[in-house]
Amino acid sequence: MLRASLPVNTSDNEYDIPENVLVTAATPANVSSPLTISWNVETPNDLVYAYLYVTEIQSLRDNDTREFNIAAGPNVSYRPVSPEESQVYNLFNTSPVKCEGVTCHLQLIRTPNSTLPPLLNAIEAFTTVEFPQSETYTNEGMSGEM
Amino acid sequence: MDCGLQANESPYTEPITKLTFTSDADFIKTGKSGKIQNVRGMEYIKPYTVLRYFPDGVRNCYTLNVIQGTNYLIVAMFTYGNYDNLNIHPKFDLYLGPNIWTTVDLQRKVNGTRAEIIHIPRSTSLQVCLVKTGTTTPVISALELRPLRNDTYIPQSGSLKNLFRVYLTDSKDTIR
Repeated sequence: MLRASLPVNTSDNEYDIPENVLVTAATPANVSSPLTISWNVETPNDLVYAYLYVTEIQSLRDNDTREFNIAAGPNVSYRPVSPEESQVYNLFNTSPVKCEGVTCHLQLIRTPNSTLPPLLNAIEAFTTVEFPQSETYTNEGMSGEM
Repeated sequence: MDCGLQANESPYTEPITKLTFTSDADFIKTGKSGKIQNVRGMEYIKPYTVLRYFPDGVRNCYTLNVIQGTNYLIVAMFTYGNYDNLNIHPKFDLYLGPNIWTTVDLQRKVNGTRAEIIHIPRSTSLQVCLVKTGTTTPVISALELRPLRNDTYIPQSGSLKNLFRVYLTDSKDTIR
């Protein structure tokens, strides 16, 4: 667990994340291991969207780099991420992902260039629900004028 | 909305969440008000201490006025709290209009549960419906609607049913 030694800037973040959420973060207990987050869904066909929120909260030395890849199963990965101070990265998939079976595993894996382990401040996950039937438009009781 | 709240107690500002809750009486004409029993060790904020229950009819719906095309965060809270002294935890379905949103299973989640979805209504009226699926009586404690920015939380298709939202910390606090 890390706690911020730097101020956290959330003013421009469109996902409206409270500052208290970002002042702490997790890194893997073993610094060379990935950070793995797992959760279950109801069926193997569930379509999942995960939103990860990342900001650098430690004061890095000049020769330190924190950089990691994000992987969600063998076929899904994100380009390397290098968190910045005073900026929050909102990282999410724009196409839905199916997990293998009913358990989803998301991994943050340090790149060979990185001197530090990966870091995650907050995460939320969703499955999609389709609403195929139109909602009824009721206009009972309305007068002639709109 | 604090479901089951009497109109004369409405509105009030809940001190911990700082949200203002109103009675649901203007949004639904069916159902009755119930009060949960106090359980030692469980501290519920005021909105979850009363509920609305629906002994009659298979389908009972709240009709909410919304802005068509706006991205909304819709949250429903459910706590049974043995309001009827029968100790029968309900299990029922939750619908948005004619489409199922999720199943609410208070037999599994005995201390209560929360359903959240991010959804864009296609008309100016949104119906949130509790649908009886077995012999047990549906209940609802609170219903919240919050508009979100239209450039956030956009899936390719459908609406986003929330599984969890966590921040990584060793604190036990909930943050709104």
